[in-house]
Formats: sequence, structure tokens, C-alpha cells
Amino acid sequence: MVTEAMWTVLQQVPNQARTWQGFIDALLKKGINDFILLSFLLFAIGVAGVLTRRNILIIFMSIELILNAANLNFIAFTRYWQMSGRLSEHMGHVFTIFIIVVAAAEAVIGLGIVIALYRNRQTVAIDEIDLLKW
Amino acid sequence: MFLKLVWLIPALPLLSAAILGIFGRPLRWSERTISWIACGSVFLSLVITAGVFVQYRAAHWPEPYLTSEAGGFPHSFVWVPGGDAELSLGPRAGQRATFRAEWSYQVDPLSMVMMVVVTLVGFLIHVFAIGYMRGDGGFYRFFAELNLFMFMMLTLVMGSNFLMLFVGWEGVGLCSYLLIGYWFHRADAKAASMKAFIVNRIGDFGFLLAMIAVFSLFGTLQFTEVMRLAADEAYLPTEAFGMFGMASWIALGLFIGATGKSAQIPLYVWLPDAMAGPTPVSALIHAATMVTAGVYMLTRTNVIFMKSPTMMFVVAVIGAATLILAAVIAFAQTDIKKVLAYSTISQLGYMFLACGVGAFTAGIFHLFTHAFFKALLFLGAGSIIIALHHKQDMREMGGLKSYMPVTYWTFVIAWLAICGIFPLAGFVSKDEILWRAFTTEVIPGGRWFWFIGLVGVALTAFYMTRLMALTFWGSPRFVPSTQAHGLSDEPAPHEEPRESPKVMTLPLIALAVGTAVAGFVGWPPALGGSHRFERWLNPVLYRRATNAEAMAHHGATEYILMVVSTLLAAMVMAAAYHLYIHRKQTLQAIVEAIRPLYIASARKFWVDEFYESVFVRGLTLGFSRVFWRTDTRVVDGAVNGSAWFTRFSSRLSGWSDLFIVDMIVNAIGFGLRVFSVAFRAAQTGFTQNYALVITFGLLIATAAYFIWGS
Amino acid sequence: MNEQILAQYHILTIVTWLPAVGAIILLFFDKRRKAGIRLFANLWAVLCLIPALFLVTYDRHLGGIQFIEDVNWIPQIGARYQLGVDGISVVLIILTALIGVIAVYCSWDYIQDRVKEYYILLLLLQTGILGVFASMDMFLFYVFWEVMLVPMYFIIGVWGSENRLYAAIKFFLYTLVGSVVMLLAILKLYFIFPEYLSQHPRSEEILRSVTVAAQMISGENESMLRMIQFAIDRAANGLPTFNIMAMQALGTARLDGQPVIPLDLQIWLFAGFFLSFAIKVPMFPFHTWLPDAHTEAPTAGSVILAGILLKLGTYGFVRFNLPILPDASKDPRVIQVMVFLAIMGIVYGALVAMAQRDWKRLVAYSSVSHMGMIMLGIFALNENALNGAVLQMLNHGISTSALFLIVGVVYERRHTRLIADYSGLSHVMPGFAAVFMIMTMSSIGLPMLNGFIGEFLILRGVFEENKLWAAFAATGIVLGAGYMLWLYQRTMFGQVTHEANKKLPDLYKREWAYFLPLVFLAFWIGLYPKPVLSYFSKPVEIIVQQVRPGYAGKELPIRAGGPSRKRAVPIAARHANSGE
Repeated sequence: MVTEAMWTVLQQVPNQARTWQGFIDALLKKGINDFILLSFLLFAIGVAGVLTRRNILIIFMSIELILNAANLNFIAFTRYWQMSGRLSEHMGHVFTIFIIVVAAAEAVIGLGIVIALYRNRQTVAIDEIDLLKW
Repeated sequence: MFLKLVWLIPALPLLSAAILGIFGRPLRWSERTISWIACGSVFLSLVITAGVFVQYRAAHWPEPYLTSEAGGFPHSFVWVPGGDAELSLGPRAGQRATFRAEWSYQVDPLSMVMMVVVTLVGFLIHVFAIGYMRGDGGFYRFFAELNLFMFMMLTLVMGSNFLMLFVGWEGVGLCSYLLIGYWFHRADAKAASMKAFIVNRIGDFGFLLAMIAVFSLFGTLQFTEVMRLAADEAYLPTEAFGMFGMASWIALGLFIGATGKSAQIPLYVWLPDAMAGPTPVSALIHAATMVTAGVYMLTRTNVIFMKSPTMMFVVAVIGAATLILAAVIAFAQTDIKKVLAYSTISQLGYMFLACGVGAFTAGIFHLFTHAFFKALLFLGAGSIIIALHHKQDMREMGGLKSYMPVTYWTFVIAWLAICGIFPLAGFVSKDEILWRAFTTEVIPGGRWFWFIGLVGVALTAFYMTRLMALTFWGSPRFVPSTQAHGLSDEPAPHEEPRESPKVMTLPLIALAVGTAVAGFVGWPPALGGSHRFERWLNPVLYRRATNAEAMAHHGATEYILMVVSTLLAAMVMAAAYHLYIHRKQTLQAIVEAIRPLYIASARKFWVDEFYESVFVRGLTLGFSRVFWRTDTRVVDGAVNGSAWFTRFSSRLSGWSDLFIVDMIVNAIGFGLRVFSVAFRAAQTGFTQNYALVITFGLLIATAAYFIWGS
Repeated sequence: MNEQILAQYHILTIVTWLPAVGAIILLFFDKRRKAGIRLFANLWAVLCLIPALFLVTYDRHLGGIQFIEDVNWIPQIGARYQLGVDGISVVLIILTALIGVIAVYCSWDYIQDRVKEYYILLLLLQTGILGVFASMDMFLFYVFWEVMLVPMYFIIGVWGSENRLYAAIKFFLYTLVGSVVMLLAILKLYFIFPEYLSQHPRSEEILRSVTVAAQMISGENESMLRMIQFAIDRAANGLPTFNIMAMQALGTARLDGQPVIPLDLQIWLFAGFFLSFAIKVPMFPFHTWLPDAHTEAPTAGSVILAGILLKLGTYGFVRFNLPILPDASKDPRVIQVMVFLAIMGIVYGALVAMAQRDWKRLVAYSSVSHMGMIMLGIFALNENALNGAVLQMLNHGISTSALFLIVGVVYERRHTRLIADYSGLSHVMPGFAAVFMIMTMSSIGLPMLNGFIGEFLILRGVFEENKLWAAFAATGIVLGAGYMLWLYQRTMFGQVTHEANKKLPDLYKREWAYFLPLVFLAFWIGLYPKPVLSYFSKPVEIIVQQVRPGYAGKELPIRAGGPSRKRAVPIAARHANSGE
């Protein structure tokens, strides 16, 4: 569904606007639904990963997916509103940058914890770690 | 030309000391090299001193001072620039004076005399020491320290201000310390060296304060300036006898310093112990030069002393008391060096007596002659000690006359000189002192001092004759044992003592010649001389006129006194000879009769024990221990106590926290726990359970929003 | 001219922070590579000495505070990053850098575990101490003062001997108590300064008087005057400052011949500073942390403690109490207390030293005695004594450091500090005996060695104030000879009684390398102290004039033109532009 939509869009884009910016703008002109859909898919994959996988590293990756889903939403909505003239600042961009930075910091700390955990318990499986109870 | 080289006189021995001290051990120099460097440097100093003497005498004397500050010769620098100060004493109190002490030397008649004594006697003793120290493990160290001593002593006598004098003063103390403790493995040496230093420090305490007082009064430490200003009545009023004013206080401080260095009552106790050092050290430092520094200092500051008859009287009394006490103790000593040590103290007493009665020149003259004959006596003793393999007990000597002729005959000259037999050096200088004491107008009671001096003459004659009798005369008592004595690495002794090698006997002969002729330098007018010595020193003395008057005035009395003292000495010598050689029973009987006195003398009147128990163990160590206990218990106790109190109160609050505050908290907690049993079950501890709950919650929330929202 | 060029290169910042930079670089070392860490730390310590040596270009004729650096730091409270040195601090900074090298170097063999942490702490400590000497801002001063405690605490607590934890905690808490009280005094000064200059009923007159005082104490030194004037101008608008020199100007200022800060307040402030500095010095009843800390610390720790840390206390008295609170400092009651405590320290310290059985503890107590002498010199309040006291700070740094190194040498070989365990060491270690002898003599003040000059000048100055004090102080010299020589006699002379002592090696080359500079300095200062004295004789002269105006018939010159407010404003404006 998505690829089809992309193709149709690409056909409509004039040659001189064949940049990412032009591409996305053209896409957005059609409406924001495609972006919400993509973001939802990413989010769902992320949540499924977090809930089902045992390996903490995979869970981390899944969390990254969730965050990026949010990022995508932010970017898309900001651009969408900018194009429709309802917003003049780069608010969503700022949030996105923040989220990326925080994600990186969180990943560092998280990985640190994982390594410490592995050193102590020789495992990265999340169901073997139930210390959160206390 | 030589005057430009004055700075070399102290510098050469210093250089030699530095070279020997730094390179002697690592380069493993032979004894010959070391001797050449050490004696060579002192010899060069001696040559320059002689040159300076000739030049100074020809061109400058009687101009009193030739200082480097005044541009007399180069090489002085500002040593301690201490900033501006306010004077606190005297007429200029409250005014500004800049404190700056220079490192500079001066040449004047007094320091000239001392320089000659120090370099000449010092050189001879250096040569003697080559023989004496042969084979000693620390040969380089010995000569380095001996050379350092020469430097310090020359700085002491040549320094042109009080601070320079003090440099030398402390410096010779250091060298004395090092050289007494030269054989530091020996218990007596190690104790004696420290004793010498500490006792000297007690003396320095007075000197230091007096020196500071001098600056606070005059605003300078320069001898030339101080002496010029001190002569001024406005600065330092002449005091009446019995008064104790400014001059007396300063003089007192200086005199305390002098008693320490020159071994006078009450600080004489270190000198006999100092005999633990090698004999050349005893000869150089503890007989000829260093111990006379006090006399030098008194003469140097004679203006201040002359302004205070009270202190002059004290000096004379201390000198007189010391000369008698030391002579009495010398009576019963059996160690040959101890006898000579007490003899030195006694002779120093004479010098102080001379200073006390205002006859500073006589004191310096006695210093001059004493340097020769006492150095000779010590070196002779050293020669004996070497011959007997480090045996010093006179009870194991006797009859050495035939074994060691050179030592014996030179010793005889010294013996006659110290007993005051005409016309040897000792006679001239001692009679000068007695005569001056008899006629003194500076302090009252001159005749009494003369009488004490006379008693001293008799005592000296007796103990010195006893020494002769026990060592050289009579029958030999030494055991030709094979048992090693003293230094352990020594070869087994020979069967009988032999005369010492030339390197040791030549200095003896040279000193003997000196002893014989030194007296003629100051031959009294009464015997047809012209008091050359006194005229030489006159420029540095206060109240020269009086001196000149006294010089002119002589008559029948002087002859009578001379005859009396010489006869007395001769009689006592004869009596002692008779007693010790022919009438041993009588001697024994006499000793039995005065047994308590004899024991007291042999035990040195228990002064050491008294000092030890009262001042050292009693006061110093006692306070030390009490303070130490105070420190740990009271002062530190307070600190630890406060720490304990803090800990206690923290424990108290910890307790109340646990049983009161915490109880309430725990009660709440317990209630909650009971209440929360059901909820606890949900807490599985698995991360994903929580995540699932969150997700469902999110879904529910979203659903709710879509259903009821908007 | 030279001074200004160096100030442009931020010489003081470099001097102060270079050791800390080294510590940061050390963080990146693998802690198992001990040899590399050692080598780097040693080289870095030497590197830190080099910029410190540039400070010898301090202009001795100009005097005052030089090499000034001034950057806004915490504008909300008026704290500035102000560095500057006068002759006294120049000498002490160079001493610190030198002792720093020696302290790092002497740990080469001794420290074997946690090497990396050790050197990091040592270098940080160095920065803390240098910062204290270089600070011209009280807030900065206080920060450095406190920062310095932490590395020292760890050095004692981690690398010390048996009783180290007790000693470390005692040291830390004791010093902390003092500095907290000092903080109160600093804050009080901080609050009254703008108050007097802007809200006081006679603030105009006070302002004028403080300006005159600032001109007097800075003499011809333009940059110093600019620094003070900037603080004064701010204060005139009610803005606070922490500048030490401005406080000195306030302390020196007079209003109708009366001090601007009233005497009662001065005495309270004095008490606040006193407690902190007296603990650091340490003065008599506050000294008990010292023997413990010195004894338990590793050799390098003792060396830094004795060589430099104690001087911070006396430096504080010279920098704060005397010029900022001159009327309290010369109040007879205060003087009596100070002199009593100083003399108690001299005599008591010496006597307690005599009772010690522990070599290191004996040297530690000798420090109490010597520092008492310095305190006496400071509170004689005249040029000779103060010159002597500052010189004696340097001398004590040299000789006592060497004495602790000497204990360290035998401790490394035998692992005991009991005097009774040693005897006759002269036989087996002649080179060591020679060094020990020189340092003993330096410590007991033998002429031609450094200790004498300082002690003599102090005695001379003290005699001028009171003959009895001088007599007591001189007693200390006699006792000093007593305990030091007794120590020497017991350890060096006699027969070798312990089997273990028979094969002790003499000084290694490495050990010679750190003793020789100290020996050289001892002789140099003893024989030709003029160059050293010339660094601080002018600052000392000014401090004496601040406390006792008109001493020795002198007067601090006021510059021609008198106090002018016009000139000050543009300078301050320029300053504000460049600084912020």
C-alpha cells in the first residue's frame, strides 16, 4: 500500500523537485495519514519487541524503534503544519533532537548497566532479572 | 700586597676542607695526598698571615682597624640585609636604624695576634696529626673537619662584626662537636660531643641576646663603630661599682657566652669530657685556640666591660674561682689528658682574671704563650699515648724519660713554662697577670685576686710536677701486654714504647722553641723589656692612658712579687718531686689524711652528677616528660574527647532515631504491608510484565479517549 | 615590563593549574602500567616547576601584587577569578613547586599500590596549595583552601602507616572546623565592605579614605591599584567584592584617625581567621593533629605537610590578619595571647620533642617549635622580625622537608621509626650521616646555614618589642640543639647494635638527587640570603606600615595628585569591558 502510494507520488513530482525535501513535501501535500501509519507500524513493532523478546539488547533496539516512531510523528506534524501555515517555529525538530540526545544517553547508561549485569550474572536475558520487585 | 690576600687566610682551609670532605672518600686518596692538601692549605694561610703581619706592622699600625667595609681590602658583601628597625635602647631609642650585617674581615692588632696563634699552632698541630692519625679509617674526614675548624676559628678572630664573630663562634662549636665525636662508635665520645655542643649553646644564648642588645643600642654590629660609640658616655654611661646598668647587662650576656666557650664556671663541665676526641684536636681546639675565644671576645669588647666595674668584678671572681677549682680537680685525675684539660680550664681562669682586673693585654698575652706551651703539653701527651697504644691512664705509665727523649725534653720545657719558671713564656705572662691584679684600680680587692693567683701558681706547680713524676720519672708501670687496647684493629703492641716518628717530634720541637721564646715578645720593663706586646695591642683598648701609666710605673714591688711567685713555684715543684719520687709513704699518708677532699677532687666535686640530675634529668627531661604526658592526655585528650562526645551524641541520636522515630515509621510501614498483600502479588519483578501492563494501560487510555473523549 | 608580558601569558594560571592538568592526563593511563605513570608524574612535576621559576622576574623594586589576572567568575556574588602574587607568595610558590617535585620524586620506590591514584592526588594537592598562594580573591582562596584538604586526607588515609585512618580523620576534621569559622569571618568582611562604602552615614569620607589607603599600599604599582580601585568602585555602588587587597585597603583606612572597621569587630574577625590559621600553623593548643598526621603520612605526605602546608597558616596571618585587621593585630591583649601561644609552642614543642621515641614524631614536634618561632616573629610586628619570619617559613620548608625525607630513607630500608631501633648508622651510611648532619645544623640554626638567618632576624625583631620574649625564644634555640643532637647521637653515633642495620645501603643516587638541591639551598640562604630577602623585604615593609603606620619614622607615600575619583571611573569601565 505504501509503496504504491510512493510510486504514484513520485510520478507526480516535477523533475526539479526530486530531492528528499521535495519528495516529503509532495507526500505531505497528499495528507498526513501515510506518516501516521508508518509511525504506528514502527511503534507497534517496537512495543511487540519490548514485550516479547528476552534479550535486553533487542529490547533496547525496540525501544529505539518506539522513540523513532515518536520522532517521525513530530517531524511529520511540524512540517505538515508549517506547510499549512499553522506553525512557524521548528518545534518538532527541537523535540526530535532532544529525543535523539536523550536516547543516546539512555542507551549509554543502559548498555553500561547491561555490561555490569553481564559481569555479575553472566546473562542478558530479561526474565532472569527480577530484582525490580524490591 | 698581602693585605689584598687577607680573605685567603680563612678561605684556603675552607677550600681544603671542602675538597677533602667531598672527594676524600669517593676518590680513596692516600694519606699522603690528604696530608699535603690539609697541611699545605694551612701552611699557605700561615705564610699569608706572616706577610699580612709584616705589611700591617710596617704600613698601618697603630691605625687600629683595617676592615673590608672601610675599603681596606676587597671581598666583603652584604650578608644579612634585615630591613629597617627601630632602636630600642639608649639615647637613640625609637630612631631608625637599618639592620645589615656584612660578611667581611678585618685586620687589627688583636686579630693579628690571634691569626698568628691560630695559623702557627694550627699548622704545627696539623703536621703532628699526620703522625697521630696514621692508619685511622677516617683520615680524610679528620683533616676535612680540622681544616673546617681552621676556617671557622679564623673567621671568628678576623670577622669585623659581631655576627661574623658569632659565625666563627658557632662554627668552631660545630667542629668541636664533630671532632670530639670523631670516634663516634665510642660511648664516651658520643656523649661528650653532644655535651660540648649543648653547653656551648647555653653560653650562646647569652651571647646572642647581648649581640642583639648591642644592635638595639648602637644600631650597628660593626666592631669599629660599636667600640667608637660605646666609648661615648651618652650611649653607654660608665657605671659605678655595684651598679648593674645597661653596660653590665650587655657585658653579662657576652660573658655568659664566654663562660660557655672558654669553659669557665659554671659551664666548664664539657671541656674535660671533650678529651674523648683525638689528641691533636684536644691540643688545637681544646687548649690552644677555640677555648680562648672567650678571652678574645672579652678583649674585643673591652670598652663595654670597662664601663661596668660590677661585671669586671664578676669576671675576675669567676676567673679566680675557676682557676682554683680546676687546679684542685686536676690534683686527683689519673687520665693524663684530663689533667691537662683541667689545667687548661685553670689557665683560662687566669686569662679571665686578667680581663677582670682590666689587664686585657695580659690576658691576651697569656693566651698567646699558653697556646704554645699547652699545645706542646697536649702533643707530648699525644706522643705518649701513641707510644703506649692509646693508653691514657697515668697509673700505667712512669719512667718514660729514657724511652722517649725528645718527647721528654720538650715536655720538660712546657712543664717549666706552665709552672712559671724564669725566663720561659709562662713566667712572663703569668707574672704580668699577677702584677696587674695586684695593682688594679678597675675593681676593688686586687690584692686578694693576686693572692688567689698565687695559690693557683702553687697548685699548678704541684699537679704538673705530679704529672711529670707519674709519666716520665720513676719506674715503668706499663704492662707490655699483648692485649689490644683502644682501637680494635690495631696491631699487637711492641714490647716497649718507642719514640714517635719525626712528623710528630718536629712539631714538638718547634713548639718547645716557641714556648721558650714567646715570652720575650712581651718582656716586662721591670726586667729591661719594653712591653712590646702591650704597645702592639694598645690601639684596640679603651683607656689607653691608664695602661701606659701602669706600664711606666714599676718598682721594687714588682720584683718582690716576681721572686715570690717564682720561688713558690720552684718550692712546690721540688716538694712534689720529692713526694712522688722519694717519699711515696708520706704522700700516701697525706692522701689518707685528706681523704674526703681527695675523693671529692677525684670525683670532680660531683658537679657533673649535680648538673645531670638537676638540669638535664630533673628540669629538662622532667618537664619534657610532663609536657609529653600533658600533650597526649590533656591537649590531645580534649581533641579526642570532643571527638568522643560527638560520637556519643551521634550514637544517642542514632538510638533515639532507631527506637522512637523509626518506630513510628515502622508502624506505618507495617500497616501498609498488611494492607498491600493483594497488590504485592502483581509485582512479579519481570520487566516485561510491567511493560505489558503499561501497554495495556496505554491501549485502555487510548480507547477511553476515543470512546468518551472530545 | 617583563611582569606584564608574563601576566599576559597567564603565568599564574599556568603555574596553578598545570599540576591539575597533569592529574587529568594521568586519568587516562592504564593503572597497571606503574612505570609509565611514575615517569610521567615525575616529568610533569618538573614541568610544573618551570613556569614557577618564571616568577623570579617579579619586580622587586616595584613591589606589591604583580602578574595579576582578573576574570569574572561568579558575578552573582561578586566572586572573581583573581590571581596575583607579591614577593612573599612568589617565594612560597617556588618553594611549593620545588617541594612538589621532591615529594613526587621521593615516592618512586615507596608507593607500590594504587600508584595512579596516588600521583593524581599529589598533583591535585599541588594545585590546591599553589592556588591558595596565588589567590587575590577571598572566595577563590577559600575554595583552594578547602580543596587542598581532600587529596591530603586521602594521601594520609590510604598510603599512611598503621594508625592512618585516625590521623587522616583528625587532620581533616580539625582543619575543617577552623576553615568554617574562617568562612564566617570572610563573609562578614564581604558584607561590611560595600556597606561601609555605600550605606554608611559617612560613606563618602570612608570611600575617600579607602582610596587613599589603596594608593598607599599599591605604591607605584599601577595594575595593583587598578584591581583595588575596581573593587572599590563596585562597592561604592553597593556591590560586594571578595578582593583581598581591597579589604586590606579598608583595614588600613582611617576615619578621623580611627580605624574604619571598629576595634571590637576587628577582634572578632581576627578570632575567626585566627582559629583557621592557628590550626594550620599549628599553634600551641591546636597542634595535636600535626604529630599524628606527620607520623602516619607517607614520606611525601609528611614532606608536603611540613614543608608547605604549615606555611599556609603563617601565610594567612601575614596576608589576612595583619593587613586587614591591623588594629586587632596590634591590640595589646591580642598580642599577649598570640605571643604567649607562640612562646608556649616554642618551648613546649621543643620539650615534647625531647620525650619522643619515634623519629618522625620528634621531627613533627620540632615543627611545632619552629612554627612557634615564626609566629613570634610575625607578631613582633616589625620589619626585622617579619622578614625573619617569612625567611624562616622558607627555611623550615627546606630543613624540615629534608628531615622527613631522612626519616623516609631509613624507614624505607627498615620499616621502623623507633629511634631505639637505630644506632651507629654513621658506620654504614656515611653519606646519609653527612646529609643528616647538615640538615640537623640547619634546623638548629647554625650560622652559614639557612636556619640561622631567619632565627636571628626574628630574635632581633622580637628583642626590639620585648626583651623577655626574646629570652624565651632563645631558650627554644638551646632546647632545639638539645633534641636534634640527641636524636643524631642516638641514631648515628655509637656501635651498630641491630643486626638488620649492619647491611643498610648508603644513599642511592636517586636519594642524593633530592637531597642535594635542599642542601644547596640551605647553604645558599645561609651564606647569601640577600637575593631571597630582597623578594619580600618591600612587601614586608608595607605590611609593617599598614599595621604600624610610621614605624621607624617612615611613611607610606601617597601619590601626587591625591585621591581622585575622576580617574578611577574610566579605568573601571575599561576593566569591565575587558574582564567580562
